[in-house]
Amino acid sequence: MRKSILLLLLALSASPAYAQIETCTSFKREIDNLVAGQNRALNLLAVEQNTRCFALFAADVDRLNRAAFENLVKKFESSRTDKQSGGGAGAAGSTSVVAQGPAAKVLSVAAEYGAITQAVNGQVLTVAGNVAGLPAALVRHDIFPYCADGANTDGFCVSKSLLSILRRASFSVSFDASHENQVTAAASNTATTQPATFTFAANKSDISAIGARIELWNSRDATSKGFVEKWKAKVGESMNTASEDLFEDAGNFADEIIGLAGYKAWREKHLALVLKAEKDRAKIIAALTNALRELVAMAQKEDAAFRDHAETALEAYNRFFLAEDELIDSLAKSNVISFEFTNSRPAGQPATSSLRLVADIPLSAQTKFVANGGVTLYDDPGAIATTGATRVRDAQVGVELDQALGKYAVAGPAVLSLAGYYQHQNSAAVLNVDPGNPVPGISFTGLPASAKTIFATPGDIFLGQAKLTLSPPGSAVKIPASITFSNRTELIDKPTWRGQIGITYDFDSLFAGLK
Amino acid sequence: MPCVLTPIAGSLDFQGPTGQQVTLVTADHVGSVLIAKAGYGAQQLVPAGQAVSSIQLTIAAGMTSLKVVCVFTASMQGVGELRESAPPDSQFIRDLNGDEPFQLIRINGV
Repeated sequence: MRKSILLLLLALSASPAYAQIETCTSFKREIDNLVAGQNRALNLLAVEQNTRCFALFAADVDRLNRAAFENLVKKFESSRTDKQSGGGAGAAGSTSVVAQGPAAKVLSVAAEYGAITQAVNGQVLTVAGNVAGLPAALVRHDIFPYCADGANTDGFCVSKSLLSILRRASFSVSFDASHENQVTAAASNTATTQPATFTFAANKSDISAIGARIELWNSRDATSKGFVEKWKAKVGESMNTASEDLFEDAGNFADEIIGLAGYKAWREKHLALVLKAEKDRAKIIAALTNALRELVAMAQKEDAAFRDHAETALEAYNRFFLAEDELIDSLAKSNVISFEFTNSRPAGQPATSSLRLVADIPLSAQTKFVANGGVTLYDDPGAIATTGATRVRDAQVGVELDQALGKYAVAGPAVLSLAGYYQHQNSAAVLNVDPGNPVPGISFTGLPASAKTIFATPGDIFLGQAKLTLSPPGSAVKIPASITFSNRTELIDKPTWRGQIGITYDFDSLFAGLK
Repeated sequence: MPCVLTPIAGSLDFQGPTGQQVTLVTADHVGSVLIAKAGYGAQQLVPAGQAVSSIQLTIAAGMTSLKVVCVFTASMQGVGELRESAPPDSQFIRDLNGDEPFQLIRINGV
């Protein structure tokens, strides 16, 4: 009886280690080879060939999972707004707008780890992100491990398949950060010629729009000649940092093992034991487990920080695999059809919801075609009933052709874009005139003092745009300059020409540099 | 021209004449594989920001580690091999698998 209990305890205590060894692909592959009768015992015990599997065993997955959880709690705790230890307002990764907005805790953590981007367009500040952004950022910052091949699936890790699904969804939240401003414009549909000027002030931090976008269909291509060419052109630069880190950290870990005084004797001893197991899988795993335990004990005796070095190497592997998968995912996207939902709550205007289908069709590495079609609906037909407007506010279609200039790809330094847009204004654009809650940036001349609502003449809008986007090499800055013609706008029934120049900054590169 | 590296029995190490130049190339099996980082002793063999399919090194005296980091189009499922190339001769050096992108090969210059 006592012998049975002892055997049971031994079996229970051994099973997690067995599972751990088999879940590391390189060990499993060599064990499969041995079971198949191949002479690969030397390869199984070679740290120079199976560095990651050695590091996984040395670091101890259970210990890593506990550490990951503790680390996560610690990082979230340090993100509390009343205990802010990072930069204040205006500092990278800690903007005051994000901290003050709704759902600030989640957004501020996302900003802290580079999972969201922020953009200011006119007086509207938009934070946008991919749903996969936060978990990916946590991997990049070594808070969560990345279980690309299932080696950590028994514990705390971000899985490759989950990230792949989450990458299909993105979100945006726009805050109306307008200040008091005054622009004079003639009202297009007034019953009197008496001028009436208002000075508007909008509340800061109002959410003016929320949006979500999901990829419905993606003709993924990760094998064609075209994909391989794009990958070869990008992989060196994209993987440079991750490769350097891995070279350094995995190299140091492997060097430490190979440099152990007893390493050669250890390998000779356990090579014989693995060979003795012949083709018996359980015996091979037991022999390998014992060999690794002895090696870890030997290494820890020489260097108490040995396990920490294994952990450092694993973190480098996590970042490497994540970067590799992100690059492949970004290049493998071919034709993409997405659905976009936007709920807009502009100050002084009825809330609307837009439903839009977006088709993104790369024609070549240098040329891309994008087509959109959508409708905008008034959220509350009752609120606009007095204007005679119907629920369907407008329908739009748009097309754009992007052509990279020179040898560069569409994402490269200079892109010429030609776009056409048509909007059928089915129902009048409605503005609520309320001096206490005005439309920011607009004042009207010619409104009667008693006017509460104004609405423009419905009609068709045609718009054409030519845009040149410059991206200085090696910079995260983009400078778009455009000229746009439209036959009318929603409010003003006259042709307009407009020239715009802007500057955008990809915050991802900034956050990447903060690691 | 014959290959210059010879396997050292009982190990995964190689040896070759000191001062001799060796060309190593990647061969694709599942997807494509390139070398993003390679160092032989203190010498970096791949320029920063590039990934290459071929590296050259000159065998140093004594045991020196060649460390490589490979990148794969098929990520962890990628498979290839590292070979010594000495046309028309060629020989196998090391399996390259996407789940073990770091490889260390010791070369003893004699």
